[in-house]
Amino acid sequence: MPGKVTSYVLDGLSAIPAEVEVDASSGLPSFTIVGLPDAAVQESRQRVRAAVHNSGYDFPLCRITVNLAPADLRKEGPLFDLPIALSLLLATGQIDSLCQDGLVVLGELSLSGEVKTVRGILPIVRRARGAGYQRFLLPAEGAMEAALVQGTSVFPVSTLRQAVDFLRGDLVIPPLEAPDWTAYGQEPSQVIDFAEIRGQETAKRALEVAVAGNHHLIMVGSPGAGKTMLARRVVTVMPPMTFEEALEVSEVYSICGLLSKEKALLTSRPFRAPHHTTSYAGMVGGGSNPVPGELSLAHHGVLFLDEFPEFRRDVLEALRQPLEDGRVQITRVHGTAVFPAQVMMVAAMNPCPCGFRLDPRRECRCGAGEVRRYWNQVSGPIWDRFDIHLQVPPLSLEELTGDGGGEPSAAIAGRVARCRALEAERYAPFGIRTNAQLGGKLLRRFCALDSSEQAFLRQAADRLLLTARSFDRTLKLARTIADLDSQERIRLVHLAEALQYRGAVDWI
Amino acid sequence: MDLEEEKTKFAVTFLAAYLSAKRIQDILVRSDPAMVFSRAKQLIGELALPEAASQWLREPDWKKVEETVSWCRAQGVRLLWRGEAGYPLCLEHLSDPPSWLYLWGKGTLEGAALAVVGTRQPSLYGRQVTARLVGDLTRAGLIIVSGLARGLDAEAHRATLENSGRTWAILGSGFQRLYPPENVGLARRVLSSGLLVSEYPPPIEPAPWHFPARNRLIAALSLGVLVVEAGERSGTLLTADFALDLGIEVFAVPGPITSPQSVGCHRLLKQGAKLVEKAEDVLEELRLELLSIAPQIPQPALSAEEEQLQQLLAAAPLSLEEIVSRCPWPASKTLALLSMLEVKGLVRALPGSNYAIL
Repeated sequence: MPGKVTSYVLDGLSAIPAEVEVDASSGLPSFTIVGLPDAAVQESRQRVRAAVHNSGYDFPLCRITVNLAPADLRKEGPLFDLPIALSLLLATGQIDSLCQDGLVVLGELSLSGEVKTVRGILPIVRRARGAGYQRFLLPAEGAMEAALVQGTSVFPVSTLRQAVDFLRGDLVIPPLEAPDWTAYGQEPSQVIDFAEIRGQETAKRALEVAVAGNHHLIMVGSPGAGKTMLARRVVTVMPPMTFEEALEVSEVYSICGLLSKEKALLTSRPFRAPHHTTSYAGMVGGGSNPVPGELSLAHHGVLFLDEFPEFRRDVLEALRQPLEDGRVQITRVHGTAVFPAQVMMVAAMNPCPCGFRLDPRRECRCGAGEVRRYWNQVSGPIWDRFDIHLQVPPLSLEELTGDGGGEPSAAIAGRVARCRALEAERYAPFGIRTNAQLGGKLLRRFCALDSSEQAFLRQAADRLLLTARSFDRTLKLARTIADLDSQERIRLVHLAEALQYRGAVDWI
Repeated sequence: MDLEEEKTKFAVTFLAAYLSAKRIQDILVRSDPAMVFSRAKQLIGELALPEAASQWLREPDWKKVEETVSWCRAQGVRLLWRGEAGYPLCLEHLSDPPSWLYLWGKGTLEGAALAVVGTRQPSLYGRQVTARLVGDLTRAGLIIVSGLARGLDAEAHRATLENSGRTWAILGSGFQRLYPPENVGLARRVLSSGLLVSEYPPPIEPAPWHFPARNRLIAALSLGVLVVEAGERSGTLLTADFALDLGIEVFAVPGPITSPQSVGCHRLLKQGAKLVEKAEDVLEELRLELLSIAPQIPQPALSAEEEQLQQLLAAAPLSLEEIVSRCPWPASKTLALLSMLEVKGLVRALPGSNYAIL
């Protein structure tokens, strides 16, 4: 009689239950896996054989067929090792019967029979819980991820022997208890803080506005102006993540195998700073069995792109749609994988290839043509994604760091959190969360101006040559500034400040 | 004029790509434009024309000419021949007046015009001064002539347009090859109220020797030449030399003696150029006192804070960071006040987040 164990397949962020069946019948000794296994699954055979043997069980000399159902779905990775081994022991009668109904099993085996953790436990358990499964037999190392999901009983095992004993009923494993979420909420304070940056008051203000409305921002300034310093501190003023958000972020990290054993839940917002040589797949995600890219790893956090024009053109263009939709869609022959990508993009660039244009301390050696080519690396539509264009003046290191005295991140974070709450409440019925997402009808509705403000903006558009797009951007920013000011209507001062973030002056 | 003749005349203008205005004049003295191609052999022999020009005379690229004719017609580009009505008399003072001019845009080449020229790599001071002087001169009714080059030329055109004035941009290339590329947008704006002027047919690329020739036109079309900033060997000084040859007044703006961008201006001043601090200095010298500088209408009312900020900027352009650190208000408020002054046309943002009053 074939043995049967339930496991799961991960496809992007969606998980599908997979039955692992093993039949051991008489015939020439062989060990075959069917059901679209990839190379890692094929190699299971060697690991399972050794692990079963080394754990003191019999590996029968007969014709063994492993079927992974549904048969038309590609199976990837080593997470079927443990289910196959258990199924085999069931089929050969070394375990009497599965006394655990509705149990989901995942795990990789080592040759000596240890159970090792696999990628994607968190998303699998979350989806499985949604599908009604409650009991999970998981590698001890990664079991903590699963325990985060409410209403589950997670049984951690670290050897094949433990798993068998547990199934036989010889060993009682107490379900893992999820640590209290509130303990995670009280993170130790950030290591970095805005208070360390003296000066750059305009930049700090612009960043505050950017975070408050989740506006994408680009900084232009000479090397050493402190662009990276500023960008790193953006996450310190963002409101703390909700539990749900933290789970979403942790899921992405789980798929990439980036969650640490001790801390299964990421609680501080991610800050990702991919190098400008990052490939297309590295940025948006990809692979035949898709894995998330930097865009998704920065979900609910900050994606910092330093040396912005140096990024490959196709990589930059690939950012457009995900930034709009808040998710990445990777289409493959076998289907489509979707990963979340709600990021705040912070970009930085030099004013010219050598970096010292208009820097009083150093002389620029770039020709006008070079400068123009450098700026043209970034296409117009990408420029339009940035609501705030910020020029960061060159300051010396002493001026930048000095003896502190700047406003601490916590104070800024307080204002930002109030503003974000205001936005979330206002936009709740419309399916958006922040001012940056305003567009079309909603923009007209929530950024309506009184007549004097209207006259001012029209005059400004005339004199400062605002395009239709920068006109809309100014409105959105003014909305955020008004929200920071706790004002219902957008006032003159809000519009006027917003105009300063347009960055229209050319550098050539 | 029939179609064939028109085409022939356009074809003649392509000689500008190969010959100086003087050599072209030599040709046209010997032959009517319509007859140039039929007498090609004789002309080439008599004048010992260079190979490229001879080639064009023997075998013009008629397809290119036809395309040019239809493009000009579609865009409303005019070809003005020397001797026709509307050809500016002042150009006749040149030793080598252009035999034709391509004009694109609104109006004619008539009126009191002043050339405002300067370096392609201006200092913040240069930009500020250009914007301020040109604003006043425009409001006095002068037409501003410049070369659409990078830096101060562009700044001069821009300031004129901002004050709803007329401006002429004299080019060293054809209209289909506007140069430099980053000023193409500016050229379009010039078209809406002023003129683009070129000796070269639309498809002709810019060439280094076109620009000195272009500078002589800038000088000749103007009552005076105002040099705002010029380096030691700036092409701008060439324009001033042409002006001196033509007996046209040269004006120069002084700058710090330490600034390399002011060396040329200071040399002009030593040679007797008129020193300019304010627009009235120019109007007086040109005997245009009757033209009074119209105040900005309406005179914008300023709040006490806006005035304070304006005074802070009075001495010299400042960077945003300096402004914010010297103002008693939080950064957000200073930013807002700057926008207010910008929109009122009193302050101007300069590259690298610097601000200057006008």
